[in-house]
Amino acid sequence: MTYSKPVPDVAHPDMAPFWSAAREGRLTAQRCTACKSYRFPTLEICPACLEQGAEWVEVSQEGTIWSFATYHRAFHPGFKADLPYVVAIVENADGVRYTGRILGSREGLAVGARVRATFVECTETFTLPAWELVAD
Amino acid sequence: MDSDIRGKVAIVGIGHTAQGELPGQSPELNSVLAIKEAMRDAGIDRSALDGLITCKSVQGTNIDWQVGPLLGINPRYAQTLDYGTCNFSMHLAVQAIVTGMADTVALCYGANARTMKFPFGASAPTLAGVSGLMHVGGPAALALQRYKSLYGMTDEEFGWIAVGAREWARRNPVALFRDPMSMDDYLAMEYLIEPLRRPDLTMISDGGVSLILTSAERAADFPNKPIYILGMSEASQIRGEFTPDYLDREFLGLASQQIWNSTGMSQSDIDLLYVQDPTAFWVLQMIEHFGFAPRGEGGKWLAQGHTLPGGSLPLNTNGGQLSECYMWGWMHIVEAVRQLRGAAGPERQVQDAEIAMYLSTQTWFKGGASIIATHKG
Repeated sequence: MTYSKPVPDVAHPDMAPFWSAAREGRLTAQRCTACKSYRFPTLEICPACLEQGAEWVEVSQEGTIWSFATYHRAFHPGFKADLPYVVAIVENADGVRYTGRILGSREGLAVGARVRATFVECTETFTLPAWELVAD
Repeated sequence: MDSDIRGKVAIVGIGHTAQGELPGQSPELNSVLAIKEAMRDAGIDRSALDGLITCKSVQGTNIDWQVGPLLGINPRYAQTLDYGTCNFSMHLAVQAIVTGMADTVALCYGANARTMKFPFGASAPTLAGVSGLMHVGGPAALALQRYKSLYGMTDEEFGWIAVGAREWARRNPVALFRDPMSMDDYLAMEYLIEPLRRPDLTMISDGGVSLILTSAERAADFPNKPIYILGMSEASQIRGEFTPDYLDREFLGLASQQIWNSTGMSQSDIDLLYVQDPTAFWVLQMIEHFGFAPRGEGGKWLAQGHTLPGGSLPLNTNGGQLSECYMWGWMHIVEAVRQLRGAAGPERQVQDAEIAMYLSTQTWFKGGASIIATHKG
């Protein structure tokens, strides 16, 4: 089956390291080589210390839900089959925030609920990092 | 340094096109048609304008040098703002007038995004976008869900924003959404982006809108009762999503403090409240950030009926963006001026209203507040 949802430009140099790590099941963020602050998505300079040096590093795949929204309408036809689907802002254990899908069971879906990263192979070149609820 | 702008500038003209679908009309044409109406209202012709401040359309057009050829003038002062909502344009006009850079300034906004079918639901090729976060309703739903979780507001309490907007719109012939909508009707509607329903989100529409501002001295010569600007404030959160908890829009607290401190006024001085409302949740946040209701109690406060027809603080008496039209909030100021002139018509005129406040934001990037009145303060 072909993948009908929007896809990112996984080859774009700014974000390519993130997408290629996702294919290997690793969650990453950019980290300032000077002050060690994390940032995501990518920025050309560290907003904490204004130094330019940065590297992509692996970060925690455990997190909690800051908030979530449940789409009952597909604004893109590719999401129609998934309705209703959940998008959440997740803060991981390193304090990095990601906006992504909540997949699997919705039992216990709530602000503050614990989640763990999961990786969905969407196409040959694109793997989507998403989240699943962790039973307490 | 004298930074008090109180009563130094007045709104002397308001104008707008029909709202809804205006096929074949560019944002620039809609702007110029609105300026024509505003000039007619102000009793002036183009020779009286020495300033023009345009506001970019959603597509990034409607720049001053794109409006200029249609308007047919080369005013001394011309600027374009990327930020809409009228507050920012009005503040810039006040600054231009009090510094002598212009005497009489036309502000305008024009949109054709409805008939051009602008893809508001499109997603950016980011992690958030490819995960399905689309439409401004997405972030607003995230913010609302968190608020509900922290403070326990019910759907019914929240629903008074959309139901109230419709109550007012039913009294406004310009409004696009005038069918009755009771609380039961609202609660019976399915979620669009849960916890938001369709009436909690604005519908895009075409149109143009314009205001004309001049100095208080000149304003006395205009045919309509001048509406004076008593206070203004702004605050930004231009770091956007890189600001922790950016959807809570805490930066609005700075704009709130500044306008109350600089005017010496308080919430109880406000007769009419206008809040730009692309989403109903932004209204709730504004009501709390500007101190009209305590934090976490905005829903309960709304359910007490203050903002409905006959209430003590009428809110968005035009129906707002939720029920009147899109226009990025600009029509709120047009309505505020109409009300303060006493010219809003028998169905929705609020008696003895002297002071109105307008609050608006560019999503989570920037916020503005203005207080306008029938007197110089």
